[in-house]
Amino acid sequence: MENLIEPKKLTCSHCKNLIESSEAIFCNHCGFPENGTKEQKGKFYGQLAIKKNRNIDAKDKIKSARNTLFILAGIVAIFGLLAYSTHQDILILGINFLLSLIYLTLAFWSEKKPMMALLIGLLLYITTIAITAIFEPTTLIKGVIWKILIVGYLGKGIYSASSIKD
Amino acid sequence: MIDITCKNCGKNLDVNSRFCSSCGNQISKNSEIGKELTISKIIWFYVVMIIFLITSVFTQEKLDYSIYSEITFEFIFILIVLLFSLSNYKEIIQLYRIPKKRYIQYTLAFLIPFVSSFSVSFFIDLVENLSDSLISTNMYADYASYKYSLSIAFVFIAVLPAIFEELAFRGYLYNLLKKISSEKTTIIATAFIFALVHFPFLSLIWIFPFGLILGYFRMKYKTLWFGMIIHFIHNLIVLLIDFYDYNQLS
Repeated sequence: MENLIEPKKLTCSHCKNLIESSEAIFCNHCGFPENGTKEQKGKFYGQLAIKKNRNIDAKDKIKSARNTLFILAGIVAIFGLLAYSTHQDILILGINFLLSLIYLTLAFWSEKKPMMALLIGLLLYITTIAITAIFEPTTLIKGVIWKILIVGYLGKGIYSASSIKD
Repeated sequence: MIDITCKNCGKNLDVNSRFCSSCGNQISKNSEIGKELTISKIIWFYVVMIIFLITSVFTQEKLDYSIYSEITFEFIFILIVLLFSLSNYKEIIQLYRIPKKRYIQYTLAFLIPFVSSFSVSFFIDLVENLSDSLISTNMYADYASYKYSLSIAFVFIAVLPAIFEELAFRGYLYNLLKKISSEKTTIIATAFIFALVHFPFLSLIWIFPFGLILGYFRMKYKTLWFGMIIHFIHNLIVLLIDFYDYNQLS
């Protein structure tokens, strides 16, 4: 009987995944230069540290965007209560509570799907500005700095979420 | 399985490779850039839609909702949708293939709008009874003063939205969202954005579930036809109910 010797399978010393062939210099899963030079390995660890910092930064931005959604939920609910106390209109209260609930749901959903939750949150916020402007055009200019800040926080959160796995 | 080529050194790589095994070039970095580009396209599409809607509401208020302004704005909306869709026409064109003979699905596509349209009418009545501040939601009322009002309303409420809203949301937008998320998330996001552009926030309660149904049919059968049929029948029934209500009140 022919004795077949199976070639030894190489695993990446960094991520422990299988390396496609013995001729491969880099691991095709994590990019570690398994058969590379010392300089290449040093460069890999340097890039890894930068990437780690970038991920921390991205997570911070997502957290800020999530907090923005929580704040929006609170502001909309309070505004609804104030409007109800002035106009005694249950519909205005209902709309504000519904909006608040949506922002809250999106804030919690952003723990699982940050990119999509923040994107929907941003679009919802833009729509709120647009609808308010239809009834009262001057609201477009009112609190413009706050609006830019909110859009900025949500926008940064979205693009940061796109750079890390959703 | 060799499916991709490293752009840096030209080596053929396994489809699942995230790095080139020969030069260490990161393959997945391109998909990150692609993701950002897709997000930008979604935001731009939505912002253009919102600007268009605000402009149309303002201008039509000033022009007292004439038939000419109605036609002009409908034409602009169609143009916007077609221009965006043009950038994705290869994928969108696949969605216009006539689905195979699926009797159950066709039956459902005819039955679902009956349930959805009567539910919507019920919710609108309920909301209207809650408050006096709500502007009339009767869709026919905007067209009532025109000659051949029902025929015009039929085109603007039942026919055109079924064709072009489906192309915009279940076609262009769905294809973009699918690139950055799972099918399930795409259906939810498309339905939500579709409900948002219908403006009054309370309409989210009935348009969002309707959007979920349309999105499910789009995902399951990879065609816009079921969505167009459901959307058309739904809008037509709502229009006929509003037409009946309007004449009863008159």
